[in-house]
Amino acid sequence: MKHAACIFGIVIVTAAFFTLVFLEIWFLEANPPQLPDGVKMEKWTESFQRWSFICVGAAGFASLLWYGLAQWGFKINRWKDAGKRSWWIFFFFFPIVAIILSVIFVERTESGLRFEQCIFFVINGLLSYYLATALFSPSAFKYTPVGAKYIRHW
Amino acid sequence: MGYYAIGIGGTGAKCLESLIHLAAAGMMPDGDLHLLFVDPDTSNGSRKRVEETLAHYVACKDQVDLGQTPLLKTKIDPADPILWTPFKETNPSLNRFFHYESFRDSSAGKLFDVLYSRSEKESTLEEGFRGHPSIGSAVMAKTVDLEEDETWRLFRKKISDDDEGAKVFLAGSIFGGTGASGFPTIAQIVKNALDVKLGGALLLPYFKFTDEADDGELKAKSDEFLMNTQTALKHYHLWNETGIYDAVYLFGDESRTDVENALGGQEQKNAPHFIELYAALAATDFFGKDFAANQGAQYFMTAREQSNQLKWTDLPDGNNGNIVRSRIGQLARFAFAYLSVYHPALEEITDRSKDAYRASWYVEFFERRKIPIDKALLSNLEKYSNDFLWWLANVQGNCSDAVSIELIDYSAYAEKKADNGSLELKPPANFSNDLSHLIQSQTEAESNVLNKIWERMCNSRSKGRDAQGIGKFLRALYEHCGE
Repeated sequence: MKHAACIFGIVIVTAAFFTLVFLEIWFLEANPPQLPDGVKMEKWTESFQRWSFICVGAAGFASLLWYGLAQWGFKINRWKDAGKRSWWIFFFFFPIVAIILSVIFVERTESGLRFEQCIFFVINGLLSYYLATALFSPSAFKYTPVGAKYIRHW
Repeated sequence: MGYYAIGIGGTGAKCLESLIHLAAAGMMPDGDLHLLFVDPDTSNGSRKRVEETLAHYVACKDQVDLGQTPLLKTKIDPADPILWTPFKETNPSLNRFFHYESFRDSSAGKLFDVLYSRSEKESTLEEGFRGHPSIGSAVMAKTVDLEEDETWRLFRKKISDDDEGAKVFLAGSIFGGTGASGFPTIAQIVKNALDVKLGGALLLPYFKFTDEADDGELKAKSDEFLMNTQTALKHYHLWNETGIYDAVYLFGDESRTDVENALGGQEQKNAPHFIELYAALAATDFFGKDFAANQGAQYFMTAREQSNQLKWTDLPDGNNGNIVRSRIGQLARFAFAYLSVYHPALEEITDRSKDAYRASWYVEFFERRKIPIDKALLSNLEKYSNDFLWWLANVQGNCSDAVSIELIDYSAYAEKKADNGSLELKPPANFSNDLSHLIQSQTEAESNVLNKIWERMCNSRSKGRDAQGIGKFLRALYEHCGE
């Protein structure tokens, strides 16, 4: 039951970040970037949205993978078995790859990649993985995400 | 109610060793337990070991408030000093003790010569009564003085001050010197002076010596154990020596365990044995029983289902061995988990606080509540856990080949030394990861026990337990080590 609750929590956090993508689109439409000649705003927005979803999806996938490995893969029979922070850091690989690909494939604006766009990709990829794992890691590893002990009190 | 247990001789002390562990497992009824050792052998290795275990138990109990829990439930109050010895002078002998030289030519001297051989009179008694109860009886009767002797006077005062009535339990062997002489003598003196319920565990032969070269020295000989026992039992019966008891429990084991022959002193360091566990269970039974006035002595007996086997169901606890298995099992898992996982974790976190994130339970039980780590307590708990696991391994492993004991699997944490076959604990880092068969049971063993305990600890809340400070953590760990 508690596993179902945690997995559901990860899914909810991921879903929340999917929703956030629409807010980002709304923000970018309200503050349209200067696009290169021949690039239409609709097409650019579509590309941005697709890669944002990929970032969030990669983060959700990484969160679930971390949960599965921490809960059913790791066994703590010794003190040295505890922690596994390097594994938690490793799973940042998935959203980071997604972010890099986003930066590469989303067409650049006239002024290059805008700071907000980078922030959005980082939020979509890294923050969603961090929050999902900081809030819903298995109990034996619940403080493995850096700073989790300050935000998780259950 | 206060409970008073007196361990007479080396075997008596070892019975109290088992009783201390049963008290740690919560098998004692509510009330304080007062302990006293009686032994002329002031440096007896077995008793010294028990004294150390007792010191570790008392230190743990004093340093932590665990609230209402079976773990270390009983407050144990050692007598001060814990050991009473009949001899005040060094290098005592029967001659010197009775000032034989001053009356050797009188008729009393002649009687003395008839009663005691030359070697009995002249041998030093520093290492006990050398398996000769006739020496012990004479010495005990002359020296156990509840009025004058400071140790006995204090012991008597404690009993007298006990408003709710006291129960006194004596444990000793019948086949040696100290136990056989002290058991009836001390009981008589206590019963005459105090209005108490009196119980006793009398241990019949359950071990034999491996090497018994006759070097002419006066000492206990295992060939004589059965004859000594028969004679003593006849004597007790004739003189109704045990009639003053309210309850007498007799134990023995016909397939006797091999023990190295030591005259006494530090070399006499015999490993624990399951018969002593029986004696300790007898003490808990006696302390928990209600006795009608003047109902006379009750004699208890129990038997194993098969004489060549010992299983949990053979241990008498009024519930087919389930209570003792459950309580000892829980304490064993607690001690095992504490030594192999939690003690190293706490030590490392104390040295490197940035590692605290690795142990969610540490954040909950220590960091957020700002509970400092009491290193002295952790160290005493480590020592007591070692004592307990070592004792339990020996209860399982120290027996004759003719008996198959199916209580625990000590191979998870202990091993027999190749040179002398003694059981020693492995370093905690080498403890097995698999606790599933630690306690042998007819039900299917749970797997991944340590991992499950860790998970439960990480889910544990510090609220809702009436323990204080570090006690909340230990209490939670103990509870999660239950079946």
